[in-house]
Amino acid sequence: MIRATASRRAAVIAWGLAVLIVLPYAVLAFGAFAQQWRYPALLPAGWSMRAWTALAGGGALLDAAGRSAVIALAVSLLSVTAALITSQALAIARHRERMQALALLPFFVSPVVIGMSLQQLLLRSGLDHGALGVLLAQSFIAYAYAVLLMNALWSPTLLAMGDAAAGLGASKLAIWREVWLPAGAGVIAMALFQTFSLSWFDYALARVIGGGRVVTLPIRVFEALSAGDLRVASAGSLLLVLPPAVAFLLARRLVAASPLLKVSQ
Amino acid sequence: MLSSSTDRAARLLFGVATGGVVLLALVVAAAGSVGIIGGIEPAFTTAHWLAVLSTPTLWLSLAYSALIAMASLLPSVLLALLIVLAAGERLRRAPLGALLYLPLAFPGVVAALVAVQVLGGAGWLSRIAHTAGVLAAPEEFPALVQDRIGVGIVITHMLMVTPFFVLLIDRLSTLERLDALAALGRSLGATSAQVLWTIRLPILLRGLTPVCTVYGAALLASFEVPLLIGAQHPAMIAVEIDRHLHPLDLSTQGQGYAMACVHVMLLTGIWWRMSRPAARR
Repeated sequence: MIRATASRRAAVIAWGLAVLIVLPYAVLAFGAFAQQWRYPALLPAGWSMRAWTALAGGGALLDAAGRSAVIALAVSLLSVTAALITSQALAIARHRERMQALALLPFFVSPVVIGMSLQQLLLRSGLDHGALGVLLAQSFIAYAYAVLLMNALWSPTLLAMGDAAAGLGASKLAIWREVWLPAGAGVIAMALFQTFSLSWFDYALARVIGGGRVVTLPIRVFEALSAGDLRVASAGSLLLVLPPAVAFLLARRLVAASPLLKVSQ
Repeated sequence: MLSSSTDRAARLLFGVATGGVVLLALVVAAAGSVGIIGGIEPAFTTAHWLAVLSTPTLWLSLAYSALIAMASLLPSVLLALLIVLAAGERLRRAPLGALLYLPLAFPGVVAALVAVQVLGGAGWLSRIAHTAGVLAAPEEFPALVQDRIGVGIVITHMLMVTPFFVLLIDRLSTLERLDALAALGRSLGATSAQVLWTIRLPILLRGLTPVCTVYGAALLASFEVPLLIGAQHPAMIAVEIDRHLHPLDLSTQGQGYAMACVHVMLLTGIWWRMSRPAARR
């Protein structure tokens, strides 16, 4: 009897949670496809593609999404490559844990403040604060994140395999190519995806560094929301969240090993 | 194997890209706060610090941010804990096992938009209340968005953070084999309450504390959500700094740098406190 009650309670909680998770997507879909949704109607009176055509008007949507995707791809490749190489050096460092703790530090400071300081640096070094500036700023944060993820890769066994290969005469390049990269493929794929998402979702750094000239997808959504155009904001939001959401659902292992979980170990 | 000089170069790159970025933020903020950079005509001055320290804006903003962060984090962790304890292995079954990952793909800008559409005066909750006959007009709906207490920000943060903690606690339970330990405890005569208070919670809390610190700091410094659905006054610290750094009147920019300076020092201090025991372990 008690077990049956507990099971029913677990089912109710599980389904309630599922509804709560799906609800925001439904809200966005209603907002994006509603023709008219006047107060106090619970559901839209009709459906329309107007928000999408408005968003896509003049190629603005494609521009923003394309720019976001290119920046995110570059950030992802740059940060994961750097993290892959440096995390190996950190793994064999004497003060490994202290150095890994340092990777958390950038997440304690607001991106607005990080962006402000990097903007000053870029301006003074002659680099225009355009898309390149946004890319560099996001790469710093993505790099720290990728290093945290890469900690999962460098087990004593994998390092020992590298030592054994070196002892047998393998070059550094051969060790990377034949031992470490194949063994770390899963973690590398996860890091590429998560750093891509980090850049794809970024608003604060793009706003501060881009100064309104680098219009990424989150910036476009923010502009529409600030202007009170909830339909266009909803359509842009769906475009922003659906691709990563689908990827999360298709490949859950890409997010399963959260670096924050590593922090707690 | 990498040579030691390459190792040193890699560690230097790591140090510059992590600690160096935060140090740069502190140096730039400090320089801006004493008028060396920024403003109309850069010149050394202590006026910005005097202005910031003599008015309550910074302290109010910091206290407000800390309260919002705590009010978002603690109920989220508690709720996640209750969900994991009550739902158990159902969390890993379809469809919830997959759905729980979806909120991880929800950035602040989008979460704020959903908050406006659900919690706003003309949002879903208001419409439901109207349909139920509780309200006659949207104006009668209590302000949950852009309210001074920050209810909208807290609810939005909770919706973003709770699923992450559900996943984390569930994962920790598996890694720490809590079910097996609980079964062992029960076989030795422990009651359900004893299993919870002396086995499950201490182990989970030990694992959760560092993550909560990182999340608390991130919530304290959150930007998009309070910028979009927070009140004009009081404002969370990142919004207050941004407002001062990008003003119409450049004369207050130095105050933004001073606030940024305090923010970096405070949060670095929290990081230092958190990382010291971790380093000792």
